[in-house]
Amino acid sequence: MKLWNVLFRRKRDQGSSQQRKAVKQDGRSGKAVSRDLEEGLSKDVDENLRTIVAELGGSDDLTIRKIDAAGTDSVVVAFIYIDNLVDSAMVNQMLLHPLMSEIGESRSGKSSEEWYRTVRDRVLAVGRVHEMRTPEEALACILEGQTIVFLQGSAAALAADTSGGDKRAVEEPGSQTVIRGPKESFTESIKTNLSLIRRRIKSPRLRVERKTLGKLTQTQIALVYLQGIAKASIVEEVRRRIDRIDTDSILESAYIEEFIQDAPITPFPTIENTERPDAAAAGILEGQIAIIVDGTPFALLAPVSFVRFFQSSEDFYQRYDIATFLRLIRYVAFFVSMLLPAMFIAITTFHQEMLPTPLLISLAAQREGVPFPAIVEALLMEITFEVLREAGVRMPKVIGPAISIVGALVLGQSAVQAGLISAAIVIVVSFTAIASFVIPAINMSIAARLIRFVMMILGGTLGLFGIMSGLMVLLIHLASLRSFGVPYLTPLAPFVWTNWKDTFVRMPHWVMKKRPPTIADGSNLVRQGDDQMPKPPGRKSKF
Amino acid sequence: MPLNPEKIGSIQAAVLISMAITPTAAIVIPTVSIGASGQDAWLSVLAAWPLGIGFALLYGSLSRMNPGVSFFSWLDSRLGRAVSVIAGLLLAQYYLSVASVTIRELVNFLSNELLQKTPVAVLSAVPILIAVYAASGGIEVIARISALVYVGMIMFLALGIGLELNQMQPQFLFPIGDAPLPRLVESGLPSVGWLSEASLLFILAPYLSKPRRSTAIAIAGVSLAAVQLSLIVLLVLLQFGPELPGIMAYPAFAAAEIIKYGSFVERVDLIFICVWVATVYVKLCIFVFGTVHCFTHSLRIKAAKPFLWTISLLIFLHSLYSWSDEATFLHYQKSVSTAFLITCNVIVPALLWLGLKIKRRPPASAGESP
Repeated sequence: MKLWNVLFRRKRDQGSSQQRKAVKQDGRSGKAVSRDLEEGLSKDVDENLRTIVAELGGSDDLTIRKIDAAGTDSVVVAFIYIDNLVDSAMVNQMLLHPLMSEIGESRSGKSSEEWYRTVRDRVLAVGRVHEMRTPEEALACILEGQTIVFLQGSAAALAADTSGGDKRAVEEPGSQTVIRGPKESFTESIKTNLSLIRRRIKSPRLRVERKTLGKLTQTQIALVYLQGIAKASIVEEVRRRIDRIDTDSILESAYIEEFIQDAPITPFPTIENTERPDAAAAGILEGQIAIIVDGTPFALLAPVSFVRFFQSSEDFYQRYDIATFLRLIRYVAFFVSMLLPAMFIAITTFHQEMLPTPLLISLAAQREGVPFPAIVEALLMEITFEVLREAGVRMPKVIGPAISIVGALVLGQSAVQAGLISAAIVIVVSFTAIASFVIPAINMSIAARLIRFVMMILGGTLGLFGIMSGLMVLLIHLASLRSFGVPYLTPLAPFVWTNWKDTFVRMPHWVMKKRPPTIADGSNLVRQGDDQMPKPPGRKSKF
Repeated sequence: MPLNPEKIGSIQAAVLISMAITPTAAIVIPTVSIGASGQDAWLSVLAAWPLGIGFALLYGSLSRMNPGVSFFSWLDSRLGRAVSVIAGLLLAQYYLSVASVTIRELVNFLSNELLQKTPVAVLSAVPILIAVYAASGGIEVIARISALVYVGMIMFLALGIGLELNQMQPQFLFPIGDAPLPRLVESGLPSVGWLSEASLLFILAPYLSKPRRSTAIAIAGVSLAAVQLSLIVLLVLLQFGPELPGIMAYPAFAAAEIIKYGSFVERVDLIFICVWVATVYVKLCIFVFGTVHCFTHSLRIKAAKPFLWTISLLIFLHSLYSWSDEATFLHYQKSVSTAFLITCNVIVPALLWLGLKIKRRPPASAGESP
């Protein structure tokens, strides 16, 4: 308990400094209040309660439970907590019940000091209990879902970790589904998420550093990494970037992502996000640092390279040959998603000679009567599809089929029959849309969608030369990006051979002997022994 | 925090040197060399290779003396400020000129073959803007894109050779050694001029992660370029024979134009053209970076960005207005370019090398016999 108190007090100090800042910057409301908060707690329980209640504006969800000494009106103990943030059953069973029994049995004849020590060390039956000396600290703990116990005659209070309330259960991932592999996903609770990682990496080297961000939201975040496997310089850089965040609210991990990413102006993600604990654990095992944020099921992983966004967790659960094939399909789909409409426009507008004659005649026949040039036709269709896609995400599930029918029949078939667009462009846009769903990382898929429009304009104005120019700009941009100092195009440029075993192809696990040296600490790259190739005893040479 | 900030690896540097040579040489050398020495043109390109290696040794020897500072700071410390500024401005002018020639070559090709109706100013502006963007990222970024484009280029070159196999006629190469020596020399000179562009090593030297490998890097870069050029010349010869290429504008692309398999693989030359355009972009990025580097480092200018835009505008105008028509440009390429390249890339470095050797000699003390 002592050790815990020492450790926790240190962290609490960090938290309280944040809280102090919050109070100071929160309002002009009050220098007087902030001065009171920084002063020590009173020995009078009622006075302490008044201070807390005043600070919280008499909020209705604040629950206070006072316990009197037997046969008197004088309050000896008071509990204070916020409804719904605590586990009520835990408060009743682990705090109230033992304390009331103790009051009955051994309160009499003890000095305030002795009584305080007894309650702290023997009565409160929860794992985390720590002392606090100022109302400011008490407030911070209440807002985190802890229960504060004030004892008459003592200028210190006890905070018991009873945080609870309604939480979503661990469910199947909504956006990163797999056919084979774990079916668990992160939830909105940081505790649950940390436990999901701990259950996968049972190593004493797994480090969890908790921090509080957001002056008003006081959001708990945790940096999770493996000591000795994550590069110390990168861990330090992540810590530094997080520490300099000065904002009043963090409601989702995307807030943090935007504050700490390397390149603010880019459509490409330089930090990975995942709702899969197995993907987060795999990243941590490779040397990445996970950032878990309370209130969101999406964890961040950094540093990351471009090729990582084309890997799916399932690649490592399927056979390596199948995984390689699927991975190559994803790369092709990325280029299709980004370039197909632009290529269609460029070829039909500028370079018709590239098409075989029968196809050219067929396309020309389809376009006969279409009033728009290819670029306008393609842009109209793409924008229509984007509207449909956005509607698909937002609309109530009940009317989903109706929108699908409207999209497919009215906008597709009818528009072709009315001669507004050609059938070829419907095929191109549909295939492009399907290809964009193949990319496992939604943020990379969105980047391809954005770039597609630029490419279409370039293809429509300068033909293949325009597309080539666009690709060059893209390549230069990608080559200039970094993720926490790691070049984004690693291992392609700069070339890193070790990483190639898990880039375009997924080599068998027994071949991938080392961790990626660009991410993992150089002194701890080897993850498995030599000669791990399976050698069944019955296997003999055929020669 | 970067892994290796602003440093480039040896392979990246060799590829950069090769990419500084081949994109424009691949267009001009088949026409000029085959025009001069017929079926022996490939021999003349191969003969230029040892000379290129000689240049590489010179550049490597100069670069290895550099303790890791910019070429001009080093010249300043060894030969004085005046020599450093003169050499810097001369090299800046050389890089500027080659960048302009590169743009002009690209624009001429595009306006003849692909985009006849697009204004030349637009076609010139696009590559220069891309080069400015790349140069502002620094040599590290250029080295990375160069390596990726190079891999793509090699893949497509191999694909092209594979697809053109059914069109090749080995008898076009015979008789070997038929061209007289003066013809071979005339044919090989442009290749020598282009291979001398390995002098890029001077500005790469301070960025190399392993500067001791300077000579090997230069030799590798020159060798990669020489082998590619020989392959391209051979490819053209094997398809069109010794007579036609001399009067063709772009024989390397004409070779890709006649690829035909069934009724669906035809006119794929555009794909090869796209890859070539990418290589030209890389060359342009290198030379725009080189111009700005030489100019700002020789004059000790700290804020390079405004000069990047100014110099790029100058390159843009130079490429648009220095040659009134294509004939003038072709004349420049055939007659002036080689002499200009050899002056800037061979004579100037040789003079500097000589100066450094003389300067290094310890002064004779009084009383000693000479």
